[in-house]
Amino acid sequence: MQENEKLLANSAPETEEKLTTICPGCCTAMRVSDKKYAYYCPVCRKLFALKKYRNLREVAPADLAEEETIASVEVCETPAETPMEMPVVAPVAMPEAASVATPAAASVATPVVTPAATVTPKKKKRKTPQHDKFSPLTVSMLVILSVYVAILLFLLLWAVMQIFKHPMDFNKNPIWFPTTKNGQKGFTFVNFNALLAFSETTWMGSNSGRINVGFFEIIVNSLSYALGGSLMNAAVTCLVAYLAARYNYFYSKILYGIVIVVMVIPIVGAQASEVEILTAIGLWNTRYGFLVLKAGFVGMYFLVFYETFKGIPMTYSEAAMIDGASDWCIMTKICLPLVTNVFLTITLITFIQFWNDYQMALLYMPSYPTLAYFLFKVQESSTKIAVPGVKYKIGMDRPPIKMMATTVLMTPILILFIALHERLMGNLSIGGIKG
Amino acid sequence: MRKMKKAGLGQNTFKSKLFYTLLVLLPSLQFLFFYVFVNLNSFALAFKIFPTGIAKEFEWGWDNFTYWFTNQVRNTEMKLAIGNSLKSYAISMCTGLPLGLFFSYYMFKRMPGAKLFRILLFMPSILSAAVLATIYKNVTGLVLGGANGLLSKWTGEVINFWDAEHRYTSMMVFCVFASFGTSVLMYTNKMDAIAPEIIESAHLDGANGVKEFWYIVLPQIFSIMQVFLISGFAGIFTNQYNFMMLFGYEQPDVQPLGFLLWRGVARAGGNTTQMGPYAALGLIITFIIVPLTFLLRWTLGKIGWKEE
Repeated sequence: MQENEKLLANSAPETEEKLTTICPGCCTAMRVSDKKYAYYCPVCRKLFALKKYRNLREVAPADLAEEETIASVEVCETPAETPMEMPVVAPVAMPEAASVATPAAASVATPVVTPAATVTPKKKKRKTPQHDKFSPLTVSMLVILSVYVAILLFLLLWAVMQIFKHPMDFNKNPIWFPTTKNGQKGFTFVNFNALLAFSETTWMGSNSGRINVGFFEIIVNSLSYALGGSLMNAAVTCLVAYLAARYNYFYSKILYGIVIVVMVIPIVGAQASEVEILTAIGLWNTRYGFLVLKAGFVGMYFLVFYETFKGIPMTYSEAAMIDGASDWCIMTKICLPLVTNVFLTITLITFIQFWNDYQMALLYMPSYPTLAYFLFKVQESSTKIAVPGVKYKIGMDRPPIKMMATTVLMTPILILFIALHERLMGNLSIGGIKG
Repeated sequence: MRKMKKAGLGQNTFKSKLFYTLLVLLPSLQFLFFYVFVNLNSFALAFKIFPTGIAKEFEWGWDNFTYWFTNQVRNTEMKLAIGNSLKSYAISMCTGLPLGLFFSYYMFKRMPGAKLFRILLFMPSILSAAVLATIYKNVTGLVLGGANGLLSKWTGEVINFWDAEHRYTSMMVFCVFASFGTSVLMYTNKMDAIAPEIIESAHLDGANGVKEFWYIVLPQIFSIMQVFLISGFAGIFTNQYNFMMLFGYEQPDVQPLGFLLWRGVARAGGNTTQMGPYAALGLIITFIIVPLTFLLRWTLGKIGWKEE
């Protein structure tokens, strides 16, 4: 470790401009060069990477003492009395140290990071004075928000309360859970059975499509549509963004320009043409046609990936290149692993979008209905259907059956949201992901 | 050692160029085919007329454009749809935008329940519009309103939220209700980036909550507001306002233009000969909305706040 420190010290040119910054590991104030990508903290004995100027902030001399005191008391048992002159090194200068620093370096240097992977200085906590907390504006907002949340929860709870209710009991008890009192039938699975029967007997397809689609097939369609579409879209976008950000060719600039222009110019009503072309090349109303359509890179997520790749220091690739790594190796072994979090977040967001989407499925693959499209069919249907185990036919317009369909559709997404809401919400910022 | 440029890999080696070309080829072709060619074809489709109803037998002409002005039924439908789209955008901006800003400010101030509200406000964004719309329509149509609804029983009058008089209002209430998630998240993330020192110095100067919101917070997040205003404006005529889940294919008197276009294509079921008028209408609208979007962008850049 001492050897490392010496190496680091020797490699810092004297002429470089120094900025005062706070170590993200132990909050020690120190002076670092603005020209380098990594620095070494002797207090917490760790290497940290940073992109030029990112995570560096100048501290005024008057503020410095206060910052040091806070840091040394709260985080570090070894108080730093004065700002230290710290050696700074670029990863290329010391490959061994650079390889140790890579995980931390990636999280600091890249603009898109998950909260868990971030190594950034502790943010000064905003304290809202009590008198300011309860201004007329905020109190009225509290009231409106409480009403909003109460309505939202009531809507969701009401839907869940209906799913095990017999369709005929709804008139007597339109709000609460099913009961067995007063001749009501109590909890039942008849609504789910009605959905199964409906999916197997109802016309679902297009003019030239098939007639009946089973419920199991609808779920398979939904999964393939959402998973296939999101993976395809995220993968292609990530790949093209990588090429545009890391290769300094003229075509890379064209790719970037294309994305900006397409995002700025709104084009209305191209669906007719899309359907015509897909029909002409035999991809309309097939599972694969949709995947081809979604294998594009244009959209705001391109910008997210682009900024992420731009944030990874070029020195990583250059060091690997010196060691003889090929372009493929640099992409797959160095750069793509650094954007895994971003990739997963974008895939998750697009998965949810595709899972919930019923219009595109209806337009481009009408013979392969998804759950969302199925819900639409249930919603607009009023036909009576024979359900196994029930003597009479049940109308599909009964709310408990519709609520069962909505619950089937929303349950996977709710589970995903509960499990991953930090990733979904924590990373979202303008352009989709916090930059 | 291989030659390296200062910024970017950009090596002039054959291998690097081959690697780049191979990887970029398919996405570029996909873009050329499914964006450039699709839009060129959309342009051509707008001028194609199919007198015999057979896709291969067509003539060129302006009939698809004049169809929307000479056919009385279609003309009325188009005018209504355009009016509905404009009205809906205005309502969304006048109610959704300020409410979203106030909600975000509430969370920014770390008020009681802010975290919970943030999660719950975001929930409608991740649930399918189909789910929420179905629940909303059933609750308002059968539980609260309608002949046997709770409100009807309490007031003694039959209240119907989905009759001709109320259905547009009911639709817009739902659209505003379900619209906060993403915008609130973006605004709060941007507000969190405001330096605490700025807020503290404003307090020292005696600024109250309203002044802080107006003079500090709004200017700092104006860039995000700009994005929402511009993207909302650009999407005026493509936004469908959850129409289909609330009304199905019916109620043309409240349908927005986005739904009119979508319905036309969906009903054609892949039959090219029926799509010409919708391609033409899309083209007309594109020619109107593109310069207006740029004008709005320019205006907001001129009159809006600047982040400093």
